[in-house]
Formats: sequence, structure tokens, C-alpha cells
Amino acid sequence: MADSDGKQADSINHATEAKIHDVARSKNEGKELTKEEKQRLRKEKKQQKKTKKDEKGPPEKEKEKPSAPAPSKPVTKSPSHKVAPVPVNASVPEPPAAAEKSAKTKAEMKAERRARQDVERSSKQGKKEGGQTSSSKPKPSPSELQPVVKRLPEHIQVDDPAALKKLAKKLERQQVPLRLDYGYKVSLFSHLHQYSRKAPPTQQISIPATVIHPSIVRLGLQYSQGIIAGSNARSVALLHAFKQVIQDYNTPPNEELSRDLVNKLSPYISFLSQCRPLSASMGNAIKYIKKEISNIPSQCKEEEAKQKLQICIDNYINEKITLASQAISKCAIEKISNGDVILVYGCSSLVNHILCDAFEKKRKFRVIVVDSRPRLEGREALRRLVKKGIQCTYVLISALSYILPEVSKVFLGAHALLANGYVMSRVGTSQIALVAKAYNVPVLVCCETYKFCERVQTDSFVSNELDDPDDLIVTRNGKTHLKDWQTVKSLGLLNLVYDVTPPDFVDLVITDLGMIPCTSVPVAYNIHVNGVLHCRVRYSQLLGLHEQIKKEYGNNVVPTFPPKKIFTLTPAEVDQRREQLEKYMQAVRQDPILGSSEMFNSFLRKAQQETQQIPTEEVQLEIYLSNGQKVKINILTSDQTEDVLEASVVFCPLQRSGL
Amino acid sequence: MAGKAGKQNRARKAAAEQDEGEQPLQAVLIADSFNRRLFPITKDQPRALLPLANVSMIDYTLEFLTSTGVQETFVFCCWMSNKIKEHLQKSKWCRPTSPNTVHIITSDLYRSLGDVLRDVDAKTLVRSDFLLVYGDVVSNIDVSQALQEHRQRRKIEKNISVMTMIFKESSPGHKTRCEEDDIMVAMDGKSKRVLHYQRAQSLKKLQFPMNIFHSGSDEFEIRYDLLDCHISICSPQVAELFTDNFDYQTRNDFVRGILVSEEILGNQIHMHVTKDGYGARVSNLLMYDSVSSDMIRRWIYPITPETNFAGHEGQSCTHSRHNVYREPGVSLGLGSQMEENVLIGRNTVIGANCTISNTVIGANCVIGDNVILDRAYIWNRVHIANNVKVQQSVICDGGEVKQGVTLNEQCVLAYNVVVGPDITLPGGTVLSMHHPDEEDEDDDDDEFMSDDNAVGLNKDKTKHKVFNPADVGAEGRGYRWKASSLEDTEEDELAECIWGPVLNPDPDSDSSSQVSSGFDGPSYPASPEPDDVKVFQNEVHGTLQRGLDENIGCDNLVLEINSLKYAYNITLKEVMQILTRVVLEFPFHQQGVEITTSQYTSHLLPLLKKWSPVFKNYVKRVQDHMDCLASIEEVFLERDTRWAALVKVLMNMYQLEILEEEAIMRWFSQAATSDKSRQLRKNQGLLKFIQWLEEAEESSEGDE
Amino acid sequence: MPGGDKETDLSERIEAFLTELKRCGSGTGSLRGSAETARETTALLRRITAQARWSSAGELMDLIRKEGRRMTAAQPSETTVGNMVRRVLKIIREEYARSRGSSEETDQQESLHKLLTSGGSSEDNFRQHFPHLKANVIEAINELLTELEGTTDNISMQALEHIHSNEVIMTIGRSRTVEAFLKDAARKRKFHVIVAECAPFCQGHEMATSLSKEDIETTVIPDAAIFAVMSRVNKVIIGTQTVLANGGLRAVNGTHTLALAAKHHSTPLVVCAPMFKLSPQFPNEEDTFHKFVSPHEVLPFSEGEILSKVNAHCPVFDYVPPELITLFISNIGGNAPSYIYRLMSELYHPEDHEQ
Repeated sequence: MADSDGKQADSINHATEAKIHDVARSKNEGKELTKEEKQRLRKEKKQQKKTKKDEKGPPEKEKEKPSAPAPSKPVTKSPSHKVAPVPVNASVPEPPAAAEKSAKTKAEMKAERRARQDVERSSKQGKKEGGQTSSSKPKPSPSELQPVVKRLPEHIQVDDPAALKKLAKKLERQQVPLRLDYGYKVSLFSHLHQYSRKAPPTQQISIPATVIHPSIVRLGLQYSQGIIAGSNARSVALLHAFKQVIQDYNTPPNEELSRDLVNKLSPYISFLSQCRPLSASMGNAIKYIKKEISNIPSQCKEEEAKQKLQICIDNYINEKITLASQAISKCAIEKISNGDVILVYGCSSLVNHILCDAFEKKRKFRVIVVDSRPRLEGREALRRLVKKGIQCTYVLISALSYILPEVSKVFLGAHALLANGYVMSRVGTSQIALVAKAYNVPVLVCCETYKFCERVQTDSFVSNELDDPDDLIVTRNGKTHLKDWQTVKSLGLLNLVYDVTPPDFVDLVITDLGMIPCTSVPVAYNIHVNGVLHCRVRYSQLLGLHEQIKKEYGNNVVPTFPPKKIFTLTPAEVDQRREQLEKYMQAVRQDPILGSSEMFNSFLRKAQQETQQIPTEEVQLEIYLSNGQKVKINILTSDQTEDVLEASVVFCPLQRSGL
Repeated sequence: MAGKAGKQNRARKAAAEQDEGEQPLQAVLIADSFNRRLFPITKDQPRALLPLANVSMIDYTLEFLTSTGVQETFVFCCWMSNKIKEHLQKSKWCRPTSPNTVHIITSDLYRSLGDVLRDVDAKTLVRSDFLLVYGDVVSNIDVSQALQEHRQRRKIEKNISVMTMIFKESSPGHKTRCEEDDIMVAMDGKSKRVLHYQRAQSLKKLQFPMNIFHSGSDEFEIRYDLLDCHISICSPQVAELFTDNFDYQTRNDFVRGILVSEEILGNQIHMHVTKDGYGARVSNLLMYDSVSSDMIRRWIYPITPETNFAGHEGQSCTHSRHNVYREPGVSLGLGSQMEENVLIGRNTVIGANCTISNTVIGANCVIGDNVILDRAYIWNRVHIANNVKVQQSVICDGGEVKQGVTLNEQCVLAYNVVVGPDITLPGGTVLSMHHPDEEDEDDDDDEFMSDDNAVGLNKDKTKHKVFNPADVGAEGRGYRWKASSLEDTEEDELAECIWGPVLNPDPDSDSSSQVSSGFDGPSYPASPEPDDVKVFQNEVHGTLQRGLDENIGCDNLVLEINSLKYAYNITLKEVMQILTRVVLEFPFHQQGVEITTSQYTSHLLPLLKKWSPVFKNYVKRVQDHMDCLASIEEVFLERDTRWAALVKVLMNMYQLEILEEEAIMRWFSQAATSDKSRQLRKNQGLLKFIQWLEEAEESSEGDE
Repeated sequence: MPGGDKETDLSERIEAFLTELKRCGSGTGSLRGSAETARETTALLRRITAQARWSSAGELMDLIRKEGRRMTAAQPSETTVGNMVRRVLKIIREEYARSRGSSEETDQQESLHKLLTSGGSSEDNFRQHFPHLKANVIEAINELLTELEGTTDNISMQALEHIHSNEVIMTIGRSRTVEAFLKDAARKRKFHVIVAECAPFCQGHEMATSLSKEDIETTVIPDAAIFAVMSRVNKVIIGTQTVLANGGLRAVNGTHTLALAAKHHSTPLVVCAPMFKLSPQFPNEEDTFHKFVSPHEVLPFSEGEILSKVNAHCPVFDYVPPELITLFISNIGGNAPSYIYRLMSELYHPEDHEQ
């Protein structure tokens, strides 16, 4: 960032003093960075110790994590952002894939040079009319933080009366009915909700005099009745429902859409989480939507704003879910060879999609569908596969160890991929992975990146979901043993929904970003600049950078890079590596040559774009000339620096000489 | 101790619910299908003895009866009764220790289930409620619950409910659902009483009599998801009822009869739907196919191949992954693989590099190298040479398939047939050592004949007939049967189509799917069940056809038609109409539809002459004349190209004094119903004819 | 003549027992526990000894072998039948030996010389006739019967030695032995039982209800959740259908998964198995080992057309290798899996193993 100014100064007048200033800034910034880094590290270390001690720990701690990126947006040096005075643009997502492609191309570099100019300008602009920009910045943050933060703990704190009261109050405030727990709860799970399907959340709602949008009510019912199940289906349904909501929304007088709409959504969300605790994927989707909304410029017209949001949502569905699954099946098919016997569990839309694709690609393979009571989702999967003409075998999970010797690969879907590499998925998945391990059958987990989740969890108890216990009741040849289980006080039925699979059971995770060993999924390093989260990178990415630097500048200049490890890292090792990486990054940054090198900065930029999904869209570039005169140019955020210069030069001919 | 436990157990299963004394549960097993469905296979072996998964079907039935607690079984056999008798006496059922005492009753006079039950009644064999099953029912249902319900009902309202039919729940399109008894049942939800019962097979629309809906109950179920297990719990009245109504031939006659005359006789029929049991009847080869595969896939557990319930020595086979069953002494060549659902009989030798799936192979077979078998049912002592490919076909005992032969879907090689080498049999080929002509002769006797006579007497004929190498290959031995011959699709032909008419060319029967659809023997032609009229028409046609073939006297024809009339309770008027229609359409049936009018008339007139007595017998009153003319008219209205013939017909009938002139005049003068008929009346020839009549009248008057 | 109808009566009973055996095989929901089967078998064998015509131990043994084969064939999965037959054969040998004066114990010592001679010698020896042999044998069989009566109690008596207060115990399906075991412990201690339901037969539900009646805190979980909750379990106590010669188990299916899960969390796995479940069978022969019931159990017949294209399997038993098992609790005390072979040799005579 600031370090770039050295080269950039020539492009604009008044360079010198700016330079000085910036250099100065860069220096102390460096310190800030390191300090910030350190304390964050300390916090995280503490956190991990905590994790071991008690399960409650992480979620609360986790609050901070999501919060981190939030305030960053206004401040971080997202190029386009600085260009326009209003924080519209850090918003519309750009497919990660796209970001990947443009890696290290010349264009890339140009782009980032341009961006540096932008910084330059903005810094000036900041001096000139800093008030306006700065004032607008902090505001959006609170509105988009709360729900993200609160949502997690409340559904796993049922045993804590205080938390319950808080929840009750909140719902009260939002006029959302509070659902009552049902039946005897197994002591181990007393911190989770347990609802009965027979008591739908809408019972207490007085239709139509409700604050809740009908489409949301419908959705809620579908969730709670299990009509819409499966992480993908649920998120898609959610997004569509929100589209509907936004369609029907109109801003009340003397209100601002970006504020009001967000506030309007939060009761909906808490209603939905009353119907059924939100899935990680939904969490991400909601986060995204809120960000979008809060980024709607205040002066933007309502219609167009709604239009924008609709488009955003469509893009999200398309990129994060549809395209992602296609990308995944593309890689996954490579893993399916002729004569394979593939074991699948339950009904994962993604896995089904993969298998069908593979079948259409004329791969010869057999599928074994494993199923489990009480949901018996496998039957649905079975129907779909058989309709396709795939040869299937069907067993219950208890017959697993009978069937497994035939199996050559296990494909599993995921509900979420936790930050500590654990796979959260339909209960039973971990069991299958376990037995597969025992029989040395490779286990592949397929998971879209939008299901990645910041939470960490080491067992299936802390944050899980209890389904209606009555589902377990079964009638066999006329006898129903559990008919009146409610009356027997010492009898409990446990209908768990998820479990977590430890990473060492999983051989490979197939994501839309490619195949990665399970452990490396979560170990993404947050790089903070100016004390705010700048971007999130993986070890592999940093390593790539390192390799490049070595190529360009030779080994002698480059600080030592933490060694690559073949085997999965223990938490301790992860910490250690983090420290080393931190040192490395600082060293690089502070190195006069490297720190200001194209490569390094372009790397940071790319990382940032990936992390924050800088969109391609039209923005207005304001150029402040030395004579205080202001010029406005419309450009695309994806424009090359040259283009921008070309455009700007028109207005200030004298600068030709400068170039 | 052990023994007691056993007894108690059986008691629990069978007789615990019995309240009228300690009546042992009885069963009537009919070891004859009373149709020629499985000809030519059943020419050499009665259906009940055909092996299914290497065990005779009747053994399954008996096992089912025994395990469901039947203590006394009457086996009625007719066709090849001696063979069945022999088999049973050898089997464990006739051992003194068997918990189920089996009585074998044979007679060659049985022509239908009706006859048997009448005999049961005559001999008063049954004392209380009894089970009624065919000899080809495979099931593991525990009927005790149904039995209990049945008895309950009979206790409550004395002897109202006469029969409880047992159905199995299975969604439409299920492989094991035999489409030929694809039924639609309307039942009273609470009392499980059957209100309406009709064959749904190849029906586009269904009609229900209104009255069933305003009868007592407020809860109706109209169910199409039922598979008829052909197992019914009958009370003794059933036999009596059969005696009373001589025209009941099959159970369907009975059921429909009871339902129709419910108000009068006050008898009811109930049903019991089971979820977990399995029950199906092997009524044609498609059913044979699917039942066998169900057997191999263990749907009929605990009746599975390896349990060897029949207790034959050395037939105990082992079961391993993917449902592969091997009996002792099986040898498998190098590189051969049994993929899934395979049963191989003892001492069978299989060559190298064979691929076998979904197949049953009997004992002492020899299979060559590079043989591919899929859904093949190979019975005992079959020899298959190298490079043979068999798909969904049946090869009976002693058959031989030579080098490089390919059997496509639904081929049947009856006993001792030899095929090949290097020939490809088209789908649906049926080969037998008996010449089909033997078959034709016995086509002539009445519908309900069973398959006994007629074979022996023309054994000799087969000798001096030569095998057609085009059909069976150079070294082949056997005659091609016309079972799948596609040129004519008349019902009685189709009855021979042992796979069910999947090969039937006419579009409405779906030739694509495996769903079996066929006919329950000649007595029930393709036409949808409920409209008796059509059935009757076919019957009449058949009758006349036969009458023509071996010129039966008209009075006999009349007799037969009358009996049919009663069987399908058809009104006299309808008889008249149908008769006319049949006769008029007769040439089309004989010569095909596209014959010229002149040919048509030339064919028709002699027929009219021949059958005038028949007509006379029905056309007596004036009204009859009118009806007759009316139906003549409508026949011709359908075929407006044939109007020229109308005059000739009328003329002829007038001359044969079937129709009287004033009748014709009246009909003519009568207001035409449709403009089409008006056109008809405008027809040149007709006008001339009428004119001529009028003149004739006048002249006759003039004479006075 | 009296003998005749005795004979027929006997054979009738045998037939009845056979059909009974065949029938109770359907599903694992067999009507009677294996304990009962064992008792009935023994009783029947006693009857045979009493009523059948035989003059010498040899004849009797042949007779019993013959009947025994039929019985085992009737229900291959019910190994207890075979075991009981072997026990009785052993008894006859012993009684015969005693009446011959030499003790079976000495025969038991497997010396090379013994192995060499035994084949021929013991055979012709059994031809000898002893007047009291019948009485003695019947006597001994009665003892065996009384022993069988006591097994379950003997096992449950040891409960308190293995269950400490408020621990979390997991079990699977329904085993009468385990049921008694836990109930016995519950009289003194409070603890929490988690029962895996063991689909598709769900005997677990039955188990859970009967346990909760004794107000033991019981939780029913679907089989899928076994691994998920295992981390909180501190003992796994299961029953078994057969204990194999190598110390492995032939238990209701799902047990292997359970055992693996227990291993992964290094939770002790305790097996309650009365002696009559020990069988000199080894897990190698797959065909008789597995037992499959109708796929209807897992996939309803009403599923319709897809059934023709799908293979659904519903095995009843799992093989659990000995290394996953921590402890056997039999009616004669606790043993390690490695010790099973020894018990085996005490219970059965090596020559009867194949029978």
C-alpha cells in the first residue's frame, strides 16, 4: 500500500511532499501492523487453548472473527472505493474464479498501479474533504455486525437462562413468536433447542397482522417441516425469499433504504432461526445480503437500488451455488474411474450432481447408497440416480461394514467446513468416514466454498441441532415400542441432525477452488493493514509469492520462508507457522525493494480482491488537480491504469510532460 | 418341550383365533391353470411342476400353506394329474411327519375353478373357512391376521361375508404387478368391504356404479395400488354358491356375480391388504421372470433358495455376496463371473469367460465358454455350447443350444428342443418338439377346456413332419410356434402368447416396458373386463367361427349362444344386435378389412344363408326385426364405403325370410336418426330395393 | 408296541422343533432368546437319549450327530443348537469314559501319541455297552440344563463389578443378557444408558423401554449417531449372537461400527456372552456366516418400478474382530478375547467340532 508511493509519485504533481508524508506513514504503519498482528495472535492462541477447555468458548470468541472484516471495508484500500466518495463498490461480488484467472498478468499489475494512484489521490482527497468520507465510513458497520455476531451463540445457549431471556426479549421486540422446546431433552444436549414438528412456529403468529413477510413465513414453515432440507436448497430458498421481500419493500419516508431494509430483515432472520437454526451457508448468504444492502448509496433511487440487490442475489446464487457445483463436479469426475464402486450417504444435491455428470460422461461405475433412519433421505437420492440409469445398491448405515469391502471410493457432501478443518455434515457422515478409514477406502468430501465457516468445533455436541424426537418412533409388525415415551420420564429420544468429521478421516476436500487436503482449508491467514483486516491468504498462496520473489530477486534478498510440511499440522505447528509467516511478511514489507515491488503489491491486491470480492462496475473517478479544480470521469473499476490516465489526461494536458 | 413349543406355535399361527371348536385350517389348492397359457411348455409338464428357482412351483404353494398354519390341504389336479400325484408323494408333504396333510384329488372333468369348487361342495370336503389358492402362487404372507378378521366378520354378522381376498400393496408400474389382473377396487374404508371390483387393464376410463357410493358407509377407498395375490379365504358357502350358479367359472365370475347380486343374495366380499408379505401368481412367463428374480433377491424371505425348505437331498445351496447361490458340485471356469442374482444348480459345469447375471441355471447343465446369460432361466440338463448369448429367455429341460446361437428377448425353448448352430432367434420365438398343428385341433373344443386330451393322440403326427432349419438352425430340432406370430391378433391366439402380449403389435399394449400384460386364459380376452357385451361379442364370433370350421349344426350354435347369453347375462335384444353385427363383420375378420365390397358380399351371402336358422331363432317379434335392421344400419353406418352391400344384405335376408318386408318398410320410413343415416336412406341401391318391395306388395295385392 | 409310538412321537417332536427353528429365523426378531433355544435343544436331546433305541455310546452319539446335523441345517444362524449338540456329545464321551474307568481328562491331553492313536481307538471303544450309561448321561444332561437356567443370573451378578455410578454406557439392539445385566446394576447404581436403535429391526426401542421402566436414564439414538455421541460414552456393553473360536463376535449388524467407534475413542467394549454362545466356528466361511432377510425391511415393496433396478441388502449380522473387544463376561467370569480358545477346548471335544 503506502509503500508503493515511491514509484508512483512521478505520475502526479506535488509528489514530493506527498511522498514524504506517505513514507512517514508507511513506517509507523509497519509498526502498527506488527503490533496489531501480535495481539491478534495472542488472542487466537488463548482462544485455541480455551477451545480445548470448554466447548462454549469458541463460538463467543468467534464473534470477533466475522466482525473483523466488517469495519475494514470502508478503510481498506479497495481501489474503486477510494475513487468514489461513497462506499458503493466494495460490494458486488466478483467470481473468485475470475480473480484467480487474472493472476499475475500484466493487466493485473497495471490495475494495481492504478489503484496506487487512487490511494494517492484519496489521501489528498482525504486531506481536502476527509470529513465527508470518514464520517460516512463507520456508520454501516454496526448494522451489519449484530446479527452475524448474535446469531451463533443464541441457539446453543438454551441452558443459559440469561441468554434465553435475552433471546425472548429480542424476539418480543421484533414481534417474532418464541418457540417452546418440546419433550424431554437428553442431558448432554440441554443447551440446544428441540422443537416438535407438530407445533409449527406460525401457530402463535396472527396472520395477516404480522410484521413478517408472507414469503418468509412460508419459508419458515417449509424449513420447520423439513420440506426444504439440505444446506444448498435452504440457502437458495432463503435468497429467493429475500428477493421477494426486497421486491415488495418500499422505503418509508425519511428513512434510508440501506439502513431500514437491514433492520427490517433482522426479525425475519430471527424468525427463520426460530423455525430451524440457520445453516452456515445461510449465515454467509445473509451476511452477504446485508453487506450489499448497507452498501446501497443513500442517494441511490429506490427502484434502482432494489434492482441492484435483485441482481446481486441472482449473481450470488449463480456463482456460489450453481457454477460452484459445476466447477466441483468437473474436478470430482476426474476422481471417478471406470469400475469404481462409489459409496454415497444420504441425499447430497452436490454429490448427486457429480454422479449424474460422471454417468453422462460415460464413466462405468456402481453406486452404493447408504441411508439412515429416521430421515431416509437416501431413498430420494436412490430414486434420482436410478432414474438416470445408474446401477445402485441400497443399504442402511448399520450394514456399512458389510458393504464397505466392495467400495472403492466414498463421496460425502458437507453442511459446512469448519475453520479447524472439521467437516460438519448430516449425522452419520463421520461414522462412514470412520469405517471407511478402517477399511482404507479414500474419503472425498465435496463442498462449495460458500459453506466455509469461521467457527471451530471439535465434537458434535456444542453447536448442533435436535430434530423432532418423534421421528424415531417406528411401528414394526404391529408393535410401537416408543409410542408413549413422553410419559416415561427416564426415557429420552435423541434425534441429532449433524455431526463433525475430524479432518484425519477425510482424504480430500473438493471445492470450487480446486482440491485441497482437508487441513489446509481453514488455515487462511488474515493479513491486517492499518490494523484492519486487509485480506485472507493461504500458506500455499504465500509460498507462491515467495517462489516468485526468489525468481525475481534471488535468494539472498529474500527472508527465509517457513518450511513446507507434508503432513497435516497440529494446532501448535499451525501457530508456529503463523508466527513465522508473520515475521516473513513484515520482513518483506519493510524491505525497501521487495516492499515496494510490483509483485508484492499485486499479490496483496489480488488477495484483497479475492477476500472482498471487488466488483467490476462503473464508478465515477474524481480527479483533484493541483489547482484545486475537480474533474469527474466515469470509468470501470476494471479499467487499466492507462485507460484511466488517458481519460484523465484529456482534462489536464499539461501533465503529458509528466508522463 | 421342543415339540410342545412347535405345536403351540402352529396353534398360535393357525387356530388360536378359531372359535368354532378346534377346526384345523383347510386349504383348496388347484394344481391346474385351466388355460393353455404356458403351452407348449405345459404339454410335457403341468404348470404346477415347472421349476421356479429350481423348485417346483407347487412346493412353494404348499410351503406357504403349511407355514401359514394350514393343516389339511386338498390338491385338485386335472392336467397330467398323475405326474403331480407322483411328485407330491415323493415330496416331504406326504410324509407322516408333515404338519400339513395333503389329499390329492384328481379328475379329468374339471374345466375350471368353478368345476373344482362344485366338486368340493359335492364331496363336502371343507368344514369351515378355507384358503383357496392356485398351484402356482408363490407367497410368504401370514394370513392369520386376515383369517382372524374374516372370522370376526363372520361372527358378528352371521355368514354375510363369504370371501376375503388378499392383496399386496404395490405401486403401479411395479415389476411384479401382473397387468392382466391389474385391478381397480372400490372398498369401504372401515369395514374393508369390497364395493366394486374391476379389471383396470388397458382401460382408459373407469366407471363406478353410483349405488356403491350411497351405500351405508361414509368412507371409501378406490385403490389402484394393489397386487392380487390370488389367495382368498373362503367360507363354505363359496362352494355352495358355485354350485348354485353353474355359470361361475373363475373367481372373477364369482366376485362380480356376488357384487352384482349383493342386494339379492346379501353376500359380501371383503379384502385384506398386506404391506410386508409377498404374494404373486405365476400366470405367464413375464410373471415367472419377475417372481424368480424376486426370489433370488430374497423378497420372499424366509422362502429363499438356500433354505431348501422342500427338503430335497443335496439341493442345499450356499449364498454369498450379490445374491449368488451355488448348489454343491458347481464348477466355474476360469474368468467366468457371476455378477449378481445368480442361482446355479448342483453339478452344473460352466466354461471359461462367461458372464452370468440375473440368471437361474438348473442341475446338471453344461455351459460352454464365452457364454453371456442375462435374465435367462435354464432348467435341468441343458447343454449350451460356446459363444452363446441368451437374454430373458426360458430353456426347458434337456434343451440344447449349439455354437454361436443368440436368443433374443422372450424366447422359449420347450423340452428337448435343439437350436443352432450359428442362428439368431428373433425375440419371442417359441420352439417345441410338438408341432403347433396338434394345437389347432384342440382349439376347437370349448373355452374352458383344460389341457389334458388331444396331445397323446397326435404324438405320431409329429414324426413325419420335418424341422424347418430356418427356424431352428441346421442341426436344430423343434417346431416354431405361432405364439408370437404377429399376422393375426385375435384373442384366442393371444391367449397362447405365453409372455403376455408384450410382443403384441397393436399399439395400446406397451411393448417397451417389462410390465407384464396378458390374458387370464382364453376365457378372458383382451377386452376390458366390465363391458360383457364386447366379451360376449367375441365369444359369439368365436362360436360362429368354430361353427363354420367344423360346420356345427345351427341349433347347436343357438344353444351355445344362449348359454353364453346367460353367462354374460345379455338381454335378448343385445344378443340380436351383436349376432347381426358379428355376422356382418365376419368377412372382415376372415379376409381382412380392405376387401372390396363385391368380395364382401360374395363372402357374406353364403354365411347368411348358412346361419339363417340362427337368425330366425332370434328374430321373431316385430320389434326384433326392427332391432335387427337397426343394428344392420349401424354396422353399415360405420362403414360408409360398403353401402352398396347393404341392399344385397337386406335383399338376401328378405329372401331368406329373416326379415319381413313391412319391417323393412317401417325401418325405411322411420325417421332417420342422424343425417348420415339419412344419406344412407338416400342410397341409390336401397331406394331401388324399397321401390321393388313396394311394387312386389302391390302386385301381390293386385293378385287378389 | 410302545416303542413304536414312542419313536413316532419323538420324531414328531423333532419335526416340530425343526419347523419351529426354521420359522423363528425370520428377521432377528426371533420369538425366543437363544437361551431358550439352547434349553429346548438340550431338552430334546435328552428326550432322544431317553426314548431312542441305542445300545452303546457310539450308537447314541451317531444318533445325536444325525439329529444335530438336521437341527443345525434347519437354522444355520442359530449356532447355539450346534453348540448344545456338541456339549451333549462331550458329556456322553465323559460318561462313557468314566464308566470305562479312564477319565476323559487324560484323553483331553493332546500328546502326539494320543493324536496318533485316538482316531481308531476311541471309535471302537464306544461300542462297549454299559447298563448305567443311559441314566448317567441323562443325569449329566440335566446338570447341563440347570446350568443353562442359571447363566443369565450368573452374568448379571457381576454387573456391579463393571458399572460404576453415573457413567454413560452405550449398547446396541436388544440382548436379554445385557438387559438383565444393566437392570441388576441399576438396583445399586445410577447411570445413563444410550441405546442404538439398530435399524431396520429397531430392537433397540424395545430394550430402551424395558430399561427405562426400571427407571434407568435411557436415551435412544439412531444408528447414525453412534460415533457422534461416542466421545461422551465411557463404556460400551453389548450382547452377541455367537462368540467365535478366535474370540471374535457374530453380533447384530452395526456392532462392528460401534466397536470401531469405541476403539477410536478408546472406550472399553464389554461383551456379555453366556458360555453356550461359544462355538468352535471360525469367521472365514462367509456363506453361512452372513444371514440376509428380505430387502423389504429396508426398502418397502411399494417403492415401485425402481425396485427392479436396485439391489437392496439387509444383512443381520456383523463380524467383530477380537482386537476390538476388551472383555468377555460369561457366566463363569470375565475373560480376555485371547482366552476364548481355551474355554472352547474345555467345552467341546475336538472331534466334535465339525460334527
